Amino acid sequence: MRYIIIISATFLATAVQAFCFVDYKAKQDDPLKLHYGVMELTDQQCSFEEAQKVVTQRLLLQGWTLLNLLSVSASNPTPQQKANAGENFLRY
Amino acid sequence: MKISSATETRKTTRLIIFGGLVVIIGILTVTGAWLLWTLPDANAFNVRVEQIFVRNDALTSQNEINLLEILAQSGTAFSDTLASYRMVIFVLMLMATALLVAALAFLGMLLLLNRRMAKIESSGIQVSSLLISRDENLVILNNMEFQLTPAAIETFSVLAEARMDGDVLSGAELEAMIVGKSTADCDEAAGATRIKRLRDSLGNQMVSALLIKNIARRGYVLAIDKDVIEMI
Repeated sequence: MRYIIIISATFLATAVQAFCFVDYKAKQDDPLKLHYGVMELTDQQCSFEEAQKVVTQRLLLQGWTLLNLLSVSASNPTPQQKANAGENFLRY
Repeated sequence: MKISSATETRKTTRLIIFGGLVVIIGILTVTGAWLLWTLPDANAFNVRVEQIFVRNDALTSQNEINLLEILAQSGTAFSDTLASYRMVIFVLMLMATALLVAALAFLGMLLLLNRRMAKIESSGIQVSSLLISRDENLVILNNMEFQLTPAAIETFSVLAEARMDGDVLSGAELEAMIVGKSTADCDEAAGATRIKRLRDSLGNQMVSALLIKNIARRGYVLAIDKDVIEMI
C-alpha cells in the first residue's frame, strides 16, 4: 500500500512537472561561431511559437542568435542528439 | 556633316574630343564605382556558411560544425586579400583612365595638325612671319630674304600697314599714301603700276627661291620632289 502511494506520488509529480526538449541551431558573429544544442522547456512553453520565443530569449542572454528550431518533442532526447549537442546539451 | 570653314572644323573637332573625354571618364568612373560596390565583403562568406548550416538539418554533429566554422574563417581571410586586390584594380583603373585621356588628346592634336599640314601643302606658301626692313630694302618672309627696290619696299610697307588696319587700298589711295598727295589728285593707273612692279620683283625672287633654284656655277633645277611630278 505504501509502495503504491509512493509510486503514484512520483507519477503525479512527473505529470505536473512535464518537460519537453527542443534542439536548435544558433550563431555568433565576428568571427562566425555556430552551435547545435538541446534545451529543456517547461510544459507551457512546448508549442512551437512559444518555444521559439523562449529559446531566443535564453540564447540572447548568453550572446547567441537563434537560427532555427529543429524539433520540439516531449520525449527524451536520443543519444545521437545528446552526443551532437555535446557541451551544449541542456547548457542554457 | 558639312564643314564650311577651318575654324568650324576646329570647333567640331574640339567638341568631339571633349565629348570623348567625358565619355571615357564617365565609363571608367561608373565601372570603378561598380567594382568597389560589388566586390564581396568579408561577411558574404559567413552568410553563405550560415545558410548551409541552417538549410541542412543533418549538419548537427560537432565535427561538421567545426568544419563549417573553419570554412567561414578561411573565407574571411580570403576577403582580406580581396580588399587589397580592390585597391590594385582601382589604381590600375586610374592609370587606364589617364592613358586613355592622354591618347584621345594626342589623337585630337594629330587630327588638327594633319588638317593644318594639308592646308599648308595645298596653299603653296604659308606665311608665318613677315619682316620688313626699310633701311636695307629687305623683306624677310619665313626666313627667306628678298631684296627689293626702295620704291617696291615703300609699296610693300604701305600694303602691310593697310593690312594691319584691316583696310583694302585702291590704286589711287596707294599712290596717294606713297606720294603724299590727296587721293583725288592721284591716278589709279600709277598705283596699279607700283603693284605690278612689286609683284614682278617679289614674285620673281620668290619663284626662284621656292621653285626654280639656281645652283651656283652648275645651273638651274626645279626645287620639287621627284615623285609629285606627273605629265598629262
